[in-house]
Amino acid sequence: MLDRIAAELRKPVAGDDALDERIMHAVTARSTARWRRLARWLVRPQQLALAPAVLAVIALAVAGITFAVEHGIREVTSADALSSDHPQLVQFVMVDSSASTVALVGDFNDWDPEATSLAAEGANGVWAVTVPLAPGRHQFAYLVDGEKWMTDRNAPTTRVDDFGKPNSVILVSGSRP
Amino acid sequence: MNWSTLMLVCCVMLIPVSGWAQDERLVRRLDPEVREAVLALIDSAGLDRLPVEPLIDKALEGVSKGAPGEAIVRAVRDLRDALVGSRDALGRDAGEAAVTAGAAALRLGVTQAHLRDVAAGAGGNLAVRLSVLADLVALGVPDDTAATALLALSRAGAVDAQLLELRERVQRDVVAGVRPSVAMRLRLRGFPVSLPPRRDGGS
Repeated sequence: MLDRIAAELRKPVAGDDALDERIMHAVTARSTARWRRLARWLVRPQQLALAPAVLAVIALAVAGITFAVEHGIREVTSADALSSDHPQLVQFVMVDSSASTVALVGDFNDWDPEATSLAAEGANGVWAVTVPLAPGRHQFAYLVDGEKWMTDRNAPTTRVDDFGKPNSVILVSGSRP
Repeated sequence: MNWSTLMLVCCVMLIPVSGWAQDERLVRRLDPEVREAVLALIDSAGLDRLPVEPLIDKALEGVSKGAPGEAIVRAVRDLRDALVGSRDALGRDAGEAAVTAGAAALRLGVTQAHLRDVAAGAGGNLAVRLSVLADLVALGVPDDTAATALLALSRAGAVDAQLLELRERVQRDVVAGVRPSVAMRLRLRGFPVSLPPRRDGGS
């Protein structure tokens, strides 16, 4: 009995000539639809169920990667700076007996006129401030009374004047003779 | 849990890691139209691996000085072009500080050939040499004189501090009224430097 069943199962299956063609057509149609299925998946809203602890781990991982990349960029930048990467204290002095306010504005304070004010040193029109500057080449100017841009007579003036108001240049080195 | 969706979300969150496209300083201080044009320039510079902080600085400088939007965009574009020229002259291995200093020198009229000459000097910090070059030219020293002197000095073993000292002394002389090329030659006395002939016709 079992032998007869097994013999029957071992017989080759007889198919018509069009069987191969129908199989290939079905496989091809499925491959084409795969791209459409992917596109539909991308635009279809998805419902996501995650444990809070898993969400926290993912958020920390993303934040950590972002910090590492940005920190890496800053590390490379600071390594390119002149000599040491320690800020140096630099004193800026200007003389203007008619000024009411003097601001130091430069690439080290985002050109923000409100970031660094000079203090009047007595009544003889001397204004001064000391700021830490990273080693490197810096451009700056003084803004007197909120409207008059002045260069530093004791520093080189950049001859490239993009905005009609030239800047002074200071070179801060991390090394000392 | 749909892990495919989760992975897609994580990938999207990681895209803006550089941060310059959303620099808060530009968002806060630039008009939207100007900001869009400036950000396009900064984005292209960043993708080309050029220093972007000098470009951001330039835009902020323009805003502080009350410059019109087109002047700000033009200045950022000019600086970006100078950064490209500096990087082309110094090579892609040059650091950001060197490329930035080289760009400043190019904008003062120094040629790419002179940048390469100064970069050929051995030892020390290239950014220092290029910064001193830019400042000497800004003081009025002819660029070929300044470049030749810096190359010869670095080959003679001058350290960064000595180059900075040279710059300060030439600056003091110029402020005191000495012609820049004269000041440069005076301060180079005693060094084994052969400078090109003077072009200013003075004594």
